[in-house]
Amino acid sequence: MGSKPEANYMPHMVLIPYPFQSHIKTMLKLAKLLHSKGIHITFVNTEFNHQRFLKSRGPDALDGLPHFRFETIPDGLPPSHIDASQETIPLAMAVENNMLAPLKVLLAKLDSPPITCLVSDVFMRFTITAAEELGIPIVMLVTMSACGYMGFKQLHDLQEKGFLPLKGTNLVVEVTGHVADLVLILGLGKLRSGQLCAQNFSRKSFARS
Amino acid sequence: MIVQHDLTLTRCVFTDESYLTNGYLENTIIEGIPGMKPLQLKDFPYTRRIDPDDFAFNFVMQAAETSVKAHAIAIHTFDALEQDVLDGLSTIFPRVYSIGPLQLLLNQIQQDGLSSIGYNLWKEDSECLQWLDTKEPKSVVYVNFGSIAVMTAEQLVEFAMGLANSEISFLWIIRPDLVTGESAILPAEFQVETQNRGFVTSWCPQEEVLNHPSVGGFLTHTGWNSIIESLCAGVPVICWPLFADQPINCSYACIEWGVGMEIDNHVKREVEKLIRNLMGGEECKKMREKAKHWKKVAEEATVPNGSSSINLDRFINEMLQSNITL
Repeated sequence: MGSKPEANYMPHMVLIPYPFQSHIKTMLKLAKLLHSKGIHITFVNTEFNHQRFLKSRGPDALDGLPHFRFETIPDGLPPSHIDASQETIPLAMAVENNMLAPLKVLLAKLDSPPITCLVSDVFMRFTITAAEELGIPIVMLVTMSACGYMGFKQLHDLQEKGFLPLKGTNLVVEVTGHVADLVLILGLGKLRSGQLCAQNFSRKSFARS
Repeated sequence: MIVQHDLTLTRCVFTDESYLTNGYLENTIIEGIPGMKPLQLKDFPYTRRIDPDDFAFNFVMQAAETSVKAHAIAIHTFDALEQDVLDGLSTIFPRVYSIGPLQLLLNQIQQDGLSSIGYNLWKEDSECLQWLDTKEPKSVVYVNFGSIAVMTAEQLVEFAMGLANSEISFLWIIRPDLVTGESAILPAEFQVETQNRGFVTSWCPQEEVLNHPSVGGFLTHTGWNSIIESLCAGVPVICWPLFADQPINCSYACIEWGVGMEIDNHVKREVEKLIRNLMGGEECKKMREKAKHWKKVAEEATVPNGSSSINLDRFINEMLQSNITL
């Protein structure tokens, strides 16, 4: 009787956007459309972006609605300025390395109603790992143009065919070891390329072991 | 030599900047991609890299490779805009659905409480809409480089002076973090020159701005949301693509869809000229016609029997029936 048993049969989709403003915007629009078709929505933001939404939209901005819930997972990055986009590379590294475990913990908790399907941004391959490990179906959203995404999809081929990476003419050799080894390394460089020069070695390559 | 055993080779690559400037990226034409027109190598994402271990390149490449394992993919575009590329993607991915523009689909549903769920991580300044109200139809160029792009202080000044010299009214979004490593400072002469025809703020409700009758053009970094939103609004663009999918978007906007003009690598001088061309004259007329055409086609895709409406339903059915093992 009533709405509760019925609610338990509602399809439940968990939407996981890439933690960038533009990707979140598109995923939220899809979430609203799915919700309007009678689907229970869980929308997963990073904790950092969740706080940013609360700051820009007000403290009740993410209270959600019936059958539209917001959840968070940590990105594992050190705190950064709340009014600035996070730097792209550290954020991508966080997506790659830090978010699988907390997502799996979250998904294990989301059982009412049971999860029908994950809807992930296409640049979050850890969500495929999570889906495979937990046996949940997954679809992906491309928040960009078809031509743009085809561009990304061709990178592997461009690399295989030798167009990429670009080829330079200076040989750079990075080693770890003692600073005293510099002469030896330059010797190695000369064997390979006359253009090797000392400033090509990054400082950290010579950190004393 | 006695310490030789302490050495570990961590990286060995050929590297220099010559391939970035010797025309290789421009002159290497990539053909034969299913459904794509021939493109310059420079149009592809993250190609200005030499290091084979570059994280960003490998990150996006591996994500794209892995995504074929998803049960289906939905793309924020519409059939009539990119039919050929969508057909091409269908030869690679098992199920491809074009479901955009999402905002036009949303406009057709009863949103009730949903409209209170906003999209923006910065507070939007809606005063700029009132300022637009005071302007003539199609007289204002809207300038916004998106949420991620950063520029140097010099580039900011070049854009500022281009806007000042164009003598066109403008609404310019300067995020607090737009300029790398410092806060954005506009030259005093810019302030003097533009005080009666420029509005500068940190963030705005972009779709409302683009659909405002006073806006006649958009200077954009060609991020996809910006492009699809300007197509929905029938507004032509000046493109200043920076990275990721932006160069390909720019190429398609300018050449295939006929709604854009690209800024040369040298921002100086170009900005003033292009803004004038965007806002008046023959080129402007042609681009506005094209933009109007795409607006109409986008609307057709999102009516109840339109391609995107049908595709969204099919995508949802696919999800509901997807409880198969991966």
